[in-house]
Amino acid sequence: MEPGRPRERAEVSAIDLDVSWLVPADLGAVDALARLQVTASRCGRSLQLHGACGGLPELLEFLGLVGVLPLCRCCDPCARESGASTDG
Amino acid sequence: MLILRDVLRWPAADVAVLLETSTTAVHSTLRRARAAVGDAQPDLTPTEPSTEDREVLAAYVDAFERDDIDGLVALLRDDAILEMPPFELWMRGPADIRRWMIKAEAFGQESFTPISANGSPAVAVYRTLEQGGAAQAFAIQVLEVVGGRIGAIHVFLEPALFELFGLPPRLAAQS
Repeated sequence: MEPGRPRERAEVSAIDLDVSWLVPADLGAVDALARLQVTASRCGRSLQLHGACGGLPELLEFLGLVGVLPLCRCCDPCARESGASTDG
Repeated sequence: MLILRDVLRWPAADVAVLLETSTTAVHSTLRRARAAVGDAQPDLTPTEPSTEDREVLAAYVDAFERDDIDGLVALLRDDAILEMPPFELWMRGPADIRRWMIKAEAFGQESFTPISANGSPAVAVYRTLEQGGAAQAFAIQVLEVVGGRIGAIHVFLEPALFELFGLPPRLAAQS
């Protein structure tokens, strides 16, 4: 909910990062991701997180960093896992 | 921003890159954030225990003096904790606290002086180590009273603390 903030970030070429393995997510994980975002920014790129689960979306929201570490909601591993359980 | 700077100890320059702003803006926002957090701090000025605190403390001491473990446990909240810093001892719930008190022989041979510790009801415990000997300073127990019952018992096995409360290190032997 920070108007204008993602503007420039959306204009640069995004790097897709699979974070579905980050379970459970903690502050250390957010720290590492944010540092990666800084490095990407300095290289003129930006990160977009895919498959965030294990509390990561909630933690980013709590920390006010959703606009800084954008989540791609196109693939939801939590939903995928619960759906896959019927196969086994 | 506050978490990045004050918890994760990021340099302001990195925070500025991450948030796509200037270092000056980071410092300015941080100043406001710290002030806001400071304003939200509870008033920590020591106060005196309330009447309810004193009543619960009196019942707690009474239960100890009568060796009434059931009476003591009845004063505890369901989520009550007992801890003994700096020892690695921490328990939760009346059942565990009861079991530990029986096992640790917490009752008997003790004398209690009600005190106040930073506004919380507390009791200075003297323990008689030898038959007929003087009761020695043993522990300070600080209670947290919530809704008329005990939510926490913090035990400090530190006789040196007695001096801070103006209490003697030992009591005269009772005849």
